[in-house]
Amino acid sequence: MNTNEIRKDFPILERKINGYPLVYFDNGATTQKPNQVIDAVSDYYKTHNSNVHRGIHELSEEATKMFEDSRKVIADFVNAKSSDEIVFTKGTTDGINGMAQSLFTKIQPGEEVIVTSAEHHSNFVPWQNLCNLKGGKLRVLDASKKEEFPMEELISMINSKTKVLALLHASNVLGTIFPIMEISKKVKSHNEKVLIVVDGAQSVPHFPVDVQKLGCDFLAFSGHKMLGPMGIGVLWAKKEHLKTLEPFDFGGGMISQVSNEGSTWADLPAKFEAGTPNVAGAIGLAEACGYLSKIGMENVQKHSQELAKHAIEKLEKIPNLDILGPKDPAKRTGLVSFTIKNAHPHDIAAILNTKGIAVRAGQHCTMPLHNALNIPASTRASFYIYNTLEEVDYFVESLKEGLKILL
Amino acid sequence: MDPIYQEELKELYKNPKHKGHIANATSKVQEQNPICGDNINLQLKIEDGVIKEAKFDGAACAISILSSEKLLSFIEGKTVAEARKITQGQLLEILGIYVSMGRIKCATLALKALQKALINVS
Repeated sequence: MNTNEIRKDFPILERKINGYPLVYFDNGATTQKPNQVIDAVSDYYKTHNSNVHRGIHELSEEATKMFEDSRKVIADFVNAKSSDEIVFTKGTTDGINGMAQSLFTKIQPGEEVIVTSAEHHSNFVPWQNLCNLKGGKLRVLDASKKEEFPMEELISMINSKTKVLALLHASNVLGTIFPIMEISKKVKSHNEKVLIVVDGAQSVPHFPVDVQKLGCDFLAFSGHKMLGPMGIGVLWAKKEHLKTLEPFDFGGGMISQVSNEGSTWADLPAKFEAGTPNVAGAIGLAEACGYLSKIGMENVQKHSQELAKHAIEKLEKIPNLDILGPKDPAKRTGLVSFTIKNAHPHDIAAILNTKGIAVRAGQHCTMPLHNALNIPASTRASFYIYNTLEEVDYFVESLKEGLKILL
Repeated sequence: MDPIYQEELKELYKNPKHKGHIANATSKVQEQNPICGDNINLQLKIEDGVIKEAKFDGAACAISILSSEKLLSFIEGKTVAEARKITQGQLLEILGIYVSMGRIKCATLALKALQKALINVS
């Protein structure tokens, strides 16, 4: 892949920040958008805008076709069995919340939901809330400190009361990749009824994900973390679950029949998509999937891992700097989080910002993880297809200079 | 360069005079900015409605520390009633440096702690 060519597609990379060229290392939070995606969204609004599945007129037909074609592109991107398994959401958080809400009637008092200590709040709080409301028990598997996924501990927690296992695919702080395929196989062999919900926010954008191979039941991801627009995401679920589960949003578009006596639900996936959908978002996300597919997800992964490897090698030489997560770059995605003794992450990020470098500082929506690691906050540099080794060098040098001021 | 990291302020946030503990504090409050990971402990010694001594401790960024330092030196000797009237705008004025929107929370952490500490003080 040719990073220099790729960079030309991203107009924002021409910006100067505080007089320096922008070095955007906050891709874990959101990625930048290529012209192709911006143009696809803009073209939709300029020439096709209409509501979908409703009007018997040309524009509505066009918009509906574009919307449903987008669904197909995204289904293929994660290798879903059919487009019906792709439910459009606002993003990962929305998808997981929806799932937790759909499972409301399925959880009985005393039944258990397992999450890990490394979860983003979006895959932690909805389950905690569900357990609180239904008298269920939230069990937290500590996955913060180990180089390897704590498979034995997880299996020892699975019992006949386990209803849901909700876990991340790739950590937004540690960069760790959980072996979902192996986890699904082992968990289901102990209790085949456990529903496995996977947070794919940091996996789908960064490496090839094949939902059929993973063996999980649900996977949620966000468009904006993979070159797509904000406000669009996907909840993938096995068709059998979407058929039997209750909808989580109600209103127009998701019904079959409505009468004073009651309502029946539309076919999949409309059953889970109440209200006017984010058509432009879906079209933009499909364009983003196309863009990434053209590069090849293996290449996307390789590139980010190379940057992370280079960053780790350089950062490790800085005194009192601790890198979070596994040291082996092959075991992680393209991000590096770290702490430095006596340097608060906010100050590090603020000083890097003066050099045009965007990193994230704080707890990255993972308070239980930061508590488990016993650190107040961390700094994260997260990479993507348009970042370069030179940018990593510049970042490390700027960090070293900044530390002279801070320490 | 962000003004906060200039030399003259550096000394102040690296060695804040009001960092420490008051052995016989009359009021103690812990306040956090969970999203940033800032955490301060505020202690006050109040006698006859006057703040005689104020100290803070905890882990926080430079802006949090600097604003804690400046706020606490400002309130020492003031009455509880006067301290209660301090607004966010006033604090930013006392702080005297530009604070970006993203760091207002850091700058006002100590004020939040102070307001909490004074709730039940007569």
